[in-house]
Amino acid sequence: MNSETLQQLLELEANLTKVSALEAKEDSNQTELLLAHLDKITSQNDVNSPIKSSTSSDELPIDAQVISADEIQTKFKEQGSLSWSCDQCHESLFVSEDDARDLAAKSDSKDCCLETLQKYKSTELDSLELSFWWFFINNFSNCVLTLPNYTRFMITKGVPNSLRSIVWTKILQIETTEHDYYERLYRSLNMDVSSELKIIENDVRRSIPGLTNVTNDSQKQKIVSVLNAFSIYESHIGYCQGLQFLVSPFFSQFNDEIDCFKALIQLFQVNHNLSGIYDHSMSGLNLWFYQFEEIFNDQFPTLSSHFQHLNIDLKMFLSQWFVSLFAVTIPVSFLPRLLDVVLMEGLQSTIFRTSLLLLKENEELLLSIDDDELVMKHFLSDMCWCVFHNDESEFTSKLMDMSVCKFTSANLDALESQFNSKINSNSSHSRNKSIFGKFMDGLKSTTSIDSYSSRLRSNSIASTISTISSVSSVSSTAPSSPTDAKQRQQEYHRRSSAIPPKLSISISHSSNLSEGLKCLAIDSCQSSIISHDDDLDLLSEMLKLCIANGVEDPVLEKVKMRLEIRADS
Amino acid sequence: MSKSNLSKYKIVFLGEQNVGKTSLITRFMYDTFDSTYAATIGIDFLSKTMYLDDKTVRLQLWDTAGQERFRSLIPSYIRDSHVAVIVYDVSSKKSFELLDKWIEDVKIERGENVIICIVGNKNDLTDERQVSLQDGEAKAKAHGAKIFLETSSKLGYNVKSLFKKIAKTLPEFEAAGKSGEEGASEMIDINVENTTTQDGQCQC
Repeated sequence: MNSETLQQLLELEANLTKVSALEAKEDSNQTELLLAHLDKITSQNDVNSPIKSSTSSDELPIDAQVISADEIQTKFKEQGSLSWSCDQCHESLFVSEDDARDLAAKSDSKDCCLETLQKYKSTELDSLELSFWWFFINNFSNCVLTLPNYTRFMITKGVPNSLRSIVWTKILQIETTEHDYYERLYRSLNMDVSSELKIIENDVRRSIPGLTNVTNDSQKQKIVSVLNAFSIYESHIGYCQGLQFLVSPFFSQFNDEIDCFKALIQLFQVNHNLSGIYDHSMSGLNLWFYQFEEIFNDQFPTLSSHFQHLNIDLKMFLSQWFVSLFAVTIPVSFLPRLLDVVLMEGLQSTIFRTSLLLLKENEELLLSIDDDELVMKHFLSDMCWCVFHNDESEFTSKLMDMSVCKFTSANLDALESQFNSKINSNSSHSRNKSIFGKFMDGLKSTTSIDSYSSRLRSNSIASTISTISSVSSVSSTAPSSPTDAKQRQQEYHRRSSAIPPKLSISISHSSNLSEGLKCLAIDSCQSSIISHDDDLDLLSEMLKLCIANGVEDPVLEKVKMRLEIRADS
Repeated sequence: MSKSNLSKYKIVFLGEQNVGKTSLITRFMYDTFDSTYAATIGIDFLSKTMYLDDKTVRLQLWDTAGQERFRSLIPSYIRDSHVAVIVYDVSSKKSFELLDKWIEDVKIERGENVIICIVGNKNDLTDERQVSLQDGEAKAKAHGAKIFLETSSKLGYNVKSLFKKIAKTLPEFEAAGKSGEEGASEMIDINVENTTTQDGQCQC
């Protein structure tokens, strides 16, 4: 990656920003979910690691290793190619991992498969894409901050299959956490047997999407172990039927129990309201139903009244969609693409958007059906996915194109408050006290944490504080919330004061760019391995950019000094 | 392909996981059996038209997830149901003991407006049997279940007759009746019994 490609990326980003501003839907910024979720990921990482929480943002964690562009290009061509299938007959191109590594075709390959393989062999990431993925893999959060629109563009295009496992590792931030620690934890958890192990075994044996790496018995046994360990580790969740669908795509990508286990834990930590969906009373599900139905009724009044006319309850298929992440019916090739978006933009909002998209795309057909049975069968089977013509790219681009404004945490939080007050006013009429009681218990444990969407970027601490106070007033019954809120508040102050208050960069559309550049420079410089002269050049180039654009920061001086020392040696 | 002239009945299958709810329905629908069916996540839906004597009814079969935690979804699943089929596994004492909880859930949601039907499945597993036929019958009687049967989806034993019995308990109206709310309001004047069995459709 050289300064030229960086410049190109920045220009592309600027153009995409302009385009999205032109297309702006209901004054929403399409990158909002992406950036909000990034906050969750990064703040989660701070909270998780006691070592990191003491450092301020000018001493970002040192990545163990910088992966060079060449390595990424090689990886692109080799690794993970097991998942390559023929463009025409959709058969897998390789029998074994070794074949895939050597790009050796199966002995009985058909002409169309050989053709596809030849195409793959000659395919390389173009320099711009390579630069992007280099940036992304080596400094995920700053890449997203610097190039939010371009990141969305690349996610829409799809993470290259062969890079997906490393890209997911970066987004989930699971490689920076100590592998040894998790390995020991995982092994010791598996010394124990979950009370639900029998169900886990039964479910994994009988229902799992047909993904790569999850086909044979020994692989399935590993998934059983992951679920067993997870159900003991997260005892308030245990095992919920449906989790097997969530685990299998991760296992398929990582093909490693411990990575898969870490991914699962991280997914639940970053998406904190997720545990309410899977916990012992599935208490969070009713809130999600409410939020979704409100959005649906608002956006699709015609379809909504059609459903009412047919006496159809959305929950009937929503429960299957939400709990299995659509995996009961979704075409297998869509699943990794869906998870790309889930990981980047958050699980709840992605599930909601996908559900709404399914309803939207099927609307015309549905309005012509005047039979409740057909509608139910349509949505509970894979028929509802036919609208995407088995084309995962069509699905992804339609999904990413949906307006995000209804799915922002602000909007979902508002719906949550509505729901809570409704519950409170209805409580005296509740006919089922036991379920209701469980439900409220669940709420208490989820709402308080859930609503703290950290809003580092929004640069308005005031709004954050008001969010916090509104949340603590809503969930004042939860004893832990006031202290948590206070801690969070302090955290925001600390973080925001670490950012130089005035950054003016002429080519930038926001302060993200300078911040991103700065962090990238610091990160890369601190890394122990800088394997390429190119990388060094890039660093100094970025430094120049920062200085030229008036970014003044003592840290940059430090970087400059280190760079000079390195260049000398 | 509207079937509005048919009487439709909502039949919900409940019971612990792995007692064979899905296989019971599959046996009835397609007369097949497989030892591994995908776990039902949330709910699944199938329907079949049944000819009985000289009448035709449409059975809407709702297959539910058996795992305990899915119970919070049960109220919305059994809304409007006419028949609740609660299944246990004769080779699992636990699944039999937990019948009470399922029946309680049904009664809380539907009161007396539902026909309760208890089924002891897997009766081919003679060596592993943990629940006797008498115990099953006694429980059915205690809960006022209208139907009690032991079945085997694997062998196809008693499955057809289960569904026949279910169909026979359904209130049989004239063909034009109660396909929707208009239908229900038309029926109101006919007699009091009908309205009590049908008023679940209006609200709750």
